[in-house]
Amino acid sequence: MVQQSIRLSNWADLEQFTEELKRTLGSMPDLVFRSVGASLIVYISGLADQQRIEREIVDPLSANQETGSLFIKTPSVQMTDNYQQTVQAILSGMAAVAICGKDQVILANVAASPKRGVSDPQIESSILGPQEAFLEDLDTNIAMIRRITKSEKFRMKVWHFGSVAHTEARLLYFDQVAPDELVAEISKRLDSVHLEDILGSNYIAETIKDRPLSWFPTVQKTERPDVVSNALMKGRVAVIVNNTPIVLLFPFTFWNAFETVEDIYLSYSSATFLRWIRAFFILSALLLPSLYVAITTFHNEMLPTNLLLSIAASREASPFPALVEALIMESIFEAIREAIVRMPRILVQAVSVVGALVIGQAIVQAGIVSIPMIIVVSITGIASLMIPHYETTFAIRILRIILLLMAGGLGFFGIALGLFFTQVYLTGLRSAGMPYLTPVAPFVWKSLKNLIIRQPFERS
Amino acid sequence: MKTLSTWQLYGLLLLFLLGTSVVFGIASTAKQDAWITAFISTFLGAALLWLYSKLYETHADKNWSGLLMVSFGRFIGSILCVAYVFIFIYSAGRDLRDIGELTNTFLLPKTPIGITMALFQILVSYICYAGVERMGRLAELNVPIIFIIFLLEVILLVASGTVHLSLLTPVAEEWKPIIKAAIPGNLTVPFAEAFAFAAFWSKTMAPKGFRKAALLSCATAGLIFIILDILAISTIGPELFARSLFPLMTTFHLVNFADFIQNIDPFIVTAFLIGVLFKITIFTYASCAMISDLWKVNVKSAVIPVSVIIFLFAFYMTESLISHLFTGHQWVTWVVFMPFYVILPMFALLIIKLKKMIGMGES
Repeated sequence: MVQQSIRLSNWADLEQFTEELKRTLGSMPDLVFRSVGASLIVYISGLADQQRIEREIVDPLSANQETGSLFIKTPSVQMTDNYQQTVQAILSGMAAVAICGKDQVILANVAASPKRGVSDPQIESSILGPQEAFLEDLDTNIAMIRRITKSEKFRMKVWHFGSVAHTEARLLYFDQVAPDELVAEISKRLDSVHLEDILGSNYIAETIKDRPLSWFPTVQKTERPDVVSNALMKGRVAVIVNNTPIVLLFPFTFWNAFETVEDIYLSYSSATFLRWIRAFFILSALLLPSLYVAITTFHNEMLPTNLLLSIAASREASPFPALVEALIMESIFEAIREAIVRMPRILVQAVSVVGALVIGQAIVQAGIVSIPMIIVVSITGIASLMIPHYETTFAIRILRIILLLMAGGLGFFGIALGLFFTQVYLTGLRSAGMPYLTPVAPFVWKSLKNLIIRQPFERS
Repeated sequence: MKTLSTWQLYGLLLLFLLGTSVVFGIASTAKQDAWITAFISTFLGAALLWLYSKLYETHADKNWSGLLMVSFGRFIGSILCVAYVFIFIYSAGRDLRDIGELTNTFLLPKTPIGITMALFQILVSYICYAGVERMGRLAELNVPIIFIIFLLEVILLVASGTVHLSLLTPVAEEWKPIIKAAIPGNLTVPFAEAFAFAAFWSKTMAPKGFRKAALLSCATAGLIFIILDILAISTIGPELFARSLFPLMTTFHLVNFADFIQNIDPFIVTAFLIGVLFKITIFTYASCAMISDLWKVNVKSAVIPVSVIIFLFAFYMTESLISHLFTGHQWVTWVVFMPFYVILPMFALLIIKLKKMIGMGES
């Protein structure tokens, strides 16, 4: 039986409190009990800052044997008589100070849990933008956002998930800037989450996004404080989860996936130029292999004679139909890509050699895959790396394989059919209430204008 | 429930109007004066669409089935409704067959026509299942694509140096074939066919917005028809233009840009698929909407059966492309399109207006 409220009227009670804590937490080597006069300090050595305890709690207490919270110098202090709360506080790095004769415990926040320093963004890098990314620590992350926005409209709502991990999640938004329905909708979805253990923000993303089974991401995941701040100021909302450097943003439309952070740090002309280049290559990433297969298999007449002859000559040695060639190369490329992500960093060189020499060179000389197909798949591979939003690349890659199969079976007709089906599917998708294809369908000129050409910032 | 914006309805109507017409050419029987025919029939078409919107205005909450009941009474109204269900099914079936023939001729000569038509009709059912709102969004996505492709086609054709405007002469030597091609041929397909929207127009927009979208799309479609006609005639000449089954395909076959971009017909055909897709979808949805109004069932539950019937119609409708086109040009216009898409709606409008006048006189 765990006692609910704490009574510390005499020495025996203090003794019993110690025993109780030892029973609850186990008498672990890092659980420290320290008596100073008539008071007892309890903390976990790795999570609490020992120097601060010495300076802010032990020194004042031993200098003045009179008891009371007045003599603790820690800025953040609270009193409680709840046993469970005391245990939780110790587990999150606070020091509990129990004083004989008081029925309350003083919880002093001297937490200094291990965390790394702010580092460069690894996933969404930019050349001219700020070079900082979120950490695993929630308070630091929120401080980073607050430092950028400095607005009195900044609001937070707090949730806790899991009885064991007790992970904190917060919904961030700007009051009166973010639409009330949006805030209410996301709050409602967070209320309905019942997850036991949460190890990352993806646990939440997957449970609260629209159509959880869809390939197309309807939630943005970012590691950049500037992106989150920008989104908040534009009226979107963010969900930030403790122990994850990845923050979720709602709503997220299809076209958001093709905007990079760099867009706002470059001059409008360069940003627009890059945006168009990106759009073109992302379209190629989707269509190039299937167009190649469709043309070489069904619509040979579309190629100019010279090109047709050279492609036919290089395809002569290959025993497979174009579709099979494409599938072989696509799967090899995906394998190399996955290998590079998973393997120890030191071995990257080895894979480059194997990928470039063995596969690129040998597969052609062995006559298994023709050279034009290698070119097509390489361009496609590079193009799909240009998609700024990591999760959208998966949608495009899966769609590419499906279109490839359709093209192999039905040529252009198959590609058109596949694209139509995708379009109809996408028109029905929503992200936190917003149609997924906004601003193109439904048409919103104000945002569409900014999508086609990054609008110059206004002077006045 | 009005679910569409003007731009969405405009897109739907425009793609519907472009539909099969861009494939088979517009008013090709008028030879070098086809573009004049297109011009005239655009004006007549606009007048027709304006009258449709007037009809809609009399009861903004009722679809065509409701208006039929109001003007002809319950019994005759219901019979006419059933007739319309089959007419829309027949129209959709004709267009589906067009798709099949087109794909068979230009894209997939070895694939059985049944497979391409079945796949296409599955896509159509999916869109109908998605409903009017998503249809509108789909149109919004595709209108820019159509515009870009159209612009590309014109640029490529002109840049190939095959356009000889002198082929357009003599202009309007005889007026009889021009008028004959406009009425009823070009007027019914595609303009009068837009009456299919009447089956579910209370779901689209208020009458005012409907009229605006209809007239704008009519003007745009007319402009595109005129430009395409002029380009086609001045590229392949009036004789071939009149004789060819797919005059515009024959035209774009001559594109040769810097000896690199040639034979782009598979690409063009694929682009044409967009228009035809919308046409079949609207007819299918119109038919389902009529059924749902008549028997008070959900539109979605009618989609699959209607689609199956359309496919069977399309499959067993005709033996060859030639007889298919002949039927279309010769008697369908007079037996189906004119009475059901033009005369009956006008008649209904007249009856409703008269009833209103009498009603006002009494009170």
